[in-house]
Parts: sequence; C-alpha cells; structure tokens
Amino acid sequence: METPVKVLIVDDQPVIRGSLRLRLTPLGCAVEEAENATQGLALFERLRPKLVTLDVIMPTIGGYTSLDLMHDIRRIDPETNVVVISSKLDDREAFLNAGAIEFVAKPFDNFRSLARKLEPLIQSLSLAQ
Amino acid sequence: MRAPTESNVRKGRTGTDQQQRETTSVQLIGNPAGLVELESLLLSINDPPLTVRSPIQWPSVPADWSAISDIAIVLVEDDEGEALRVLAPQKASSVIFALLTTRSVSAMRRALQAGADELLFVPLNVGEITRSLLNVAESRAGSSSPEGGRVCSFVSNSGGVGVTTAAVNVGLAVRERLNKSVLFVDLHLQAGALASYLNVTPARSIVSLGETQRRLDSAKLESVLTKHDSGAYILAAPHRIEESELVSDDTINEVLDLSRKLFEFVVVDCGNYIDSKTVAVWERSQEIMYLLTQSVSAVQSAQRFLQLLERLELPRLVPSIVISKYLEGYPIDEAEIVNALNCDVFARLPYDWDTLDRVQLSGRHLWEVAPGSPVAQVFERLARRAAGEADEILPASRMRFPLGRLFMQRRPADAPV
Repeated sequence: METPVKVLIVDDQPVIRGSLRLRLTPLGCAVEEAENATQGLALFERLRPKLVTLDVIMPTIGGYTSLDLMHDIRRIDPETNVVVISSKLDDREAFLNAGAIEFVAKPFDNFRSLARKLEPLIQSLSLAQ
Repeated sequence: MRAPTESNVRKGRTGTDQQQRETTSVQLIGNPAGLVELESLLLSINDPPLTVRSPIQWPSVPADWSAISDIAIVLVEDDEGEALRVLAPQKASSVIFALLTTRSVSAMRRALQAGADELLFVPLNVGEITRSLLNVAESRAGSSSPEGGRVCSFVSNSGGVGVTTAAVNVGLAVRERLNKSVLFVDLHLQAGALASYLNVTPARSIVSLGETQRRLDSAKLESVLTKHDSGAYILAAPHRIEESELVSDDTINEVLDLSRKLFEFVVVDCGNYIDSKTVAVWERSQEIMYLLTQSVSAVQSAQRFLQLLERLELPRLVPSIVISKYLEGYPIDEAEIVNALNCDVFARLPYDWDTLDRVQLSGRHLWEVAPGSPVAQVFERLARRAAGEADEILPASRMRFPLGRLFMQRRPADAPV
C-alpha cells in the first residue's frame, strides 16, 4: 500500500494554501501548512516532508526570507523537492540555482497543471518510502 | 543538419468538427532507435489529431528546435546530460515532454529542473500519453473559453447585502427574459436560503452527491435536482447545517464541470464566506458579481475582496460590482464607492424591499408580481451581463468625497471636490 507523501505548503495566503491542498491531497499527499518562512523551517525540521511548496512573496520575520528557507532546506536535506511559486519571474534564477525543482509563475490557474506535472514524482516518492 | 519531416498527419474527427480542429505537431528528439516504439504509438493516436515529425538525433539538434513544433518529446536515456542540455532553453515555445527510461526520483527531479513540462516513462502507456497530449491540445485551443453554459457566481465579503436575492432574481431573469435553461447551485451551504427564496422544498441536496463513490454523471446529478415553476432547476444546500462539512471540494468541481454541459446558465450562490471551495468556483466562472451596500464596513470588505483577487492573480476575472439596497442621497454614494474601490460599479439595485417582500410573501417570482418595477429592470440588465449579452457600465454619479481616509486613499488627481 502506498504511503502518503508528506508535503509542506509555505504561503501566507490561506486561500492559496487551501487551493494547493485541494490539488495535492487527491494525489496521495499528507499536507501540512505554514504561513511564513520561520514557521516553515520549524515545521520542516519536525516533519521532514518530501515536497515543499514555497511562496516567494511572504512577510519576513526577523529578516528571514523564503530564499533563506530554501537554502536551509537544501542544507538539512538536499533530497527534498522544493517547488517555488511566485508572481515575479525575476526570482526564477536565484531559486533554481538554489536547487528548486520547479518554479511556478502565478496566476492561480497554473496550480492545476502543477499538480499534473508533479503527479509521477509524488507517486514515486510514495513508493520509495 | 537534417530538417524534420512529417511522417504522418492524422485527423481525429470527421466533417466540420474535423476541419475546425487544428493538429498538434510533435517533434521527437533523441536516439531514433529508442524512439521507434513511441513514434509508432503516436501514429496510432487519433485524438488529438497529431502531426508527428521524424526524430532529430543528437548532436544534430538545431538551436531553434523549440520553435519547430507544439510539443517536443525528448528521450532521456544513457546520454542524459546531453538530453537535459537540450531541455534547458528557458524561452522554449514548445511544451517539452521528457521521456524517461527510469522512474527514479532523482531522474524526475533533474528533468523538471531542466525545464520539462511533462514527464513520460518507458515502458510507454498509451493512456498516459494521450491524456498528456489532450491536455496540451486543449490548452492550445483555449479550453478556458466558455464551452457549454456560463457560470455566474454571486459573492460578498459582508453579510446581509442580498447575495441570495440577487442570485435568485438574476437567474430567474435569464430564465424568464432570455429563455435559457438555468440551474441554481446553493453553495451558501450553512444558510441554504436559496430554496426558500424560490419557494420550493427540495427532497434531496448536494450532500447526496457525495454519498456514493460513483463518478458524477448526468443521471446522478438530475436525481438530486428540484424543479422550479419557471422551469429552472435547483441544487439545494444541505438540509442541516452540520451536513455542510460533508460537501467536498471535489464534489463542487464535478458539479460545475457537468452542469456547464447540461445547462446554458449556472447561477452559484457563494454566500459571504470565502475559502478554497469558493476560489475553485471562481476559477470555473465566466462572471463574478460582488455585492455590497452603502456602508463603510461593506466598502472595506469589498476592498479586501478585490485585494484578494489581485493576489490570486485570476486575470480572466474582473468582478462586476453591484451596490445593493441603493439609496439616492445617502452620504456614501456610488462615486464614493467607485473612488474607494478604484473600479467601476456595474449596477445599483434600488432599495425596493416593498416589492421584494411582496414577492416573498406571495410565493411567486418577481416577473409574476412586479415585472416592470425598477428593481426587476436592474435584475434584467444584470442577467444580460451575466449571460454574456451586454457589457454596459452605469455612469458614475457626480464625484464628491466628503468621507475620511478610507475613501481619500485612491482619489483621482483630477476629481472635483
């Protein structure tokens, strides 16, 4: 039996978190949510999710940014799959260079194709657990 | 350098439909021996209609390879480094499928990082490939454009502004005046007032749709609908408040997708609660009508709603702002609201609760009780807009801005004081 894949959604917008949850849960994901980068790091260290979706434009607490979180995730577990979501294409290079597997430009409609694209990866992660 | 050649052109349908459907061109890239099976499989696919171009082999891949076709399928096998280098161009106009010979997580991760839009795997599965090709073909054809009925959502971020009243009367105006088939969907799940407004007692509700695992089809949907005297149908909210939690997001998505195929016009009463379900409805809507009244709190709530829409970046959707219970001469007038929201107001529903009360108490609808009333005329205008038959905007009132900071923030530089 396939094990649910732990997914952490880091986004300050509850509606976006809910929408991503809506699309990832049917693929066999157990979804947890964080509303800023600091909370995201704490949850990441505790849950060790296999997949993280990370919103770039978030309020920072104590100057801790999404890119800092991206680097910390890679340092703690380089095998973690991080998908970055942003409305600014300027961010793309920095996050891909930091190891993001996917950079999704908003609009919101793109989340549907994101779920389709990640489906085989999630299935493999599930079987590998 | 070998120019790509068309090895086959297939058209999947006949007659007019066939002529209207464009073929999707597919370019294969990689070792031709490794692509033989894929090429023959693609040639057997009728829907979507494909133009399959012969493989381009390493290292003869032209620099502009991504401009050649709609889809590029890149075989990623032993020479993975070379294949990923080809995938790398970031400005590719093609949709790139990476065909992987392994399902290892690291191989998928590398392909995604290199820019693959879809992942395919050897051994090939015709169902998976067809599904992926159809997705691309539908995107190219603009699948987001209305195909089937129009979905119109009614929403507000503040209570008591008449969302259900507007939803009911716009839907009935479409039915009565435009003679279209209409379905009302009550997603104001806890209040569930839509059926009362229409004076019907539904035997079944949307909850019934989630009671079996069977996929939603037209027979199952029709079995839970209630017919109104006007000929419109109602998908009612749960009978009990606690049952609203039994309505899943998936059910709502399925209902809307199917309803658009069965009805010309679908009215969704979203009430005044916004969550991921509501957003899923907006994604499927051709029209959103946002209602507010002439109060500071309602205007502030509308600002928050518009800010949310901006953050969600749903570029197709520009809500039609409707001022409900409109009173002429009230200090917060239309011009104030236009200024505060920085967008046009589409319509004002006059404060005519005498007429609307008579409608409710009589158990009949507005076009039976007061068809020529001012409020009925506004609903008819909204109905034409919602049905995609009109696009006029009411002129804003004379601009005055006597209120405080809330309204002063977005005051146009050239506005008269």
